[in-house]
Amino acid sequence: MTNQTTRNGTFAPMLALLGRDLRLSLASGGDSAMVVVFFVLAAILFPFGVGPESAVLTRIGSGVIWVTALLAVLLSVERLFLADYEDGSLELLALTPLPMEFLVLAKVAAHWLTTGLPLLVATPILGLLYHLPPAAFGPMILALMLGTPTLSLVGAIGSALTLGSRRGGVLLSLLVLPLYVPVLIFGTAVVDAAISGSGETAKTPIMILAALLLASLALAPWATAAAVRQALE
Amino acid sequence: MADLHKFANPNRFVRIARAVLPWSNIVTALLLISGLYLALFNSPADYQHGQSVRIMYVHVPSAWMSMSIYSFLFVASLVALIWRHPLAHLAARAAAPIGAGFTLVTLVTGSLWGKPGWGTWWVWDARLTSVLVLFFLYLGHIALTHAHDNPERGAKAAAILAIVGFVNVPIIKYSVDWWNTLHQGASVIRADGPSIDGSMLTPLLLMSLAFTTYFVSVLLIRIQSEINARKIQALQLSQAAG
Amino acid sequence: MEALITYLEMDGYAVYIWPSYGIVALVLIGLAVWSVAGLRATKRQLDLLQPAVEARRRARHAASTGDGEKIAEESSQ
Repeated sequence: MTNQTTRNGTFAPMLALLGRDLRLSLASGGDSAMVVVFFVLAAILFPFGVGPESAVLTRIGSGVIWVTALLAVLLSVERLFLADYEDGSLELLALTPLPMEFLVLAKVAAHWLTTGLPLLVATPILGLLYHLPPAAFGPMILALMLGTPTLSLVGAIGSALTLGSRRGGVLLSLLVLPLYVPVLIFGTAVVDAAISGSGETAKTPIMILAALLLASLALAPWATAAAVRQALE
Repeated sequence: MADLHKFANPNRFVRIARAVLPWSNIVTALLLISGLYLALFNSPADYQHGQSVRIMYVHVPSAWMSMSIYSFLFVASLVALIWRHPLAHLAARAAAPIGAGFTLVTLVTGSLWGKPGWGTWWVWDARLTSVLVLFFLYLGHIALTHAHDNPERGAKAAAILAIVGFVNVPIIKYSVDWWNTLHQGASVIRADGPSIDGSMLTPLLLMSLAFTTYFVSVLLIRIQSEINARKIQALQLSQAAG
Repeated sequence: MEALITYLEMDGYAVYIWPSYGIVALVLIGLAVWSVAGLRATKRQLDLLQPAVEARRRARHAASTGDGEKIAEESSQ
């Protein structure tokens, strides 16, 4: 009984916050659309740079898709706390009984739903443009599904750390990009394994991506919450 | 007068630092002289690397320093955030540029050693790549400490970053190891060399000790100026308050 | 002289060895000089600030005990 009430006491406000962030994102319109447009446009630039040979494109496809997805998440994650910080609503949110860690989780979930998920939807198009073999599509989507939430979670730390700082955007990329390296490595490894070998070899990097997601799910909200708290002091 | 109370502890630190500093300077000088003498004049050429093995005596100690200073940064940040020890923030802030310096030395000397050894300035080898990422972690830490108008806030943000980065360092290390084997069928054969000879081990250890005491000296100097900077800030505030 | 030159040539590895030791010297000396200069600069600033603030505090203290209004006026100018 008590268990039930505490659960309601945490999840109802989390859902409310998630809903609010989603509504705000939809109302302001085009936030997600801009992220997807950036993602596709940046990925389309590469064939102009390296030439249109099919073999080359297949070889670099997964890497390009991952790097551009990573940059798209980085660009959007800067605004994760910024609007709420600037108009003071973050301080009000901090006053609610909802622990900061859960508040962070709700905001990260909203961020992933408005950026990571649209990226997933756009990925098959890029896969076609890069002549990826059909067998690679499934693993690629799965890898992005496991990897992009990790990117959002880690990006949230950087976003909270740079609140109220000078040169926020450039600083954010300096802080976050080194931390993104493991996700990038294992994310592309999944697709490479799916292209070159059997589905079995793709299993290991997928498991590692899942492990990275679980670890960042457990650890990143603490760091982000600590960073938000010190930003509000 | 809460400010003054806060500096009671740092004042004691300054006294200790001033007492230790001459000794650490002398020891650094002695170690450097003996280490450099052995490294440059009184050690054999390697049968595989030839004379270029002499780069090892600065490269390997720098690499050790770059990692141990990051560990120092992590511990200082933990102490700063958990026990709110005022000196720990200053120590972290003071240590980061020294660590970045040693990491830069590691990268440059490694590149200079790699050219005659492997025939190229840079390979996307697991070790090189993870040290490069470590260098960027240091740069991020330094940038973050200076990005806030209120140094207190910059210090706290940087402490959180140092802890997150430290958790991530083994992951990065592991991931680039993995990545390297996947992409390069025949990965770069690093000459592990023979079990290292005493004539090479002695200068290597001397140089490592010299770098460590050098770190202590420069750290003590930098913490003192950080303490001074905080005092200046407090005085300026009290002056502005009238 | 001859021996020195052969030594400095390092069997042809000179172009790699000396720049290595050069960058070590550059970074280590640079860091040390920068740190010492920073300490000197903060010390100088502190020495300038501290007497001023001390004087004012003493003046205020004197003013509050009632026999130092003149000093307080002087120091506030």
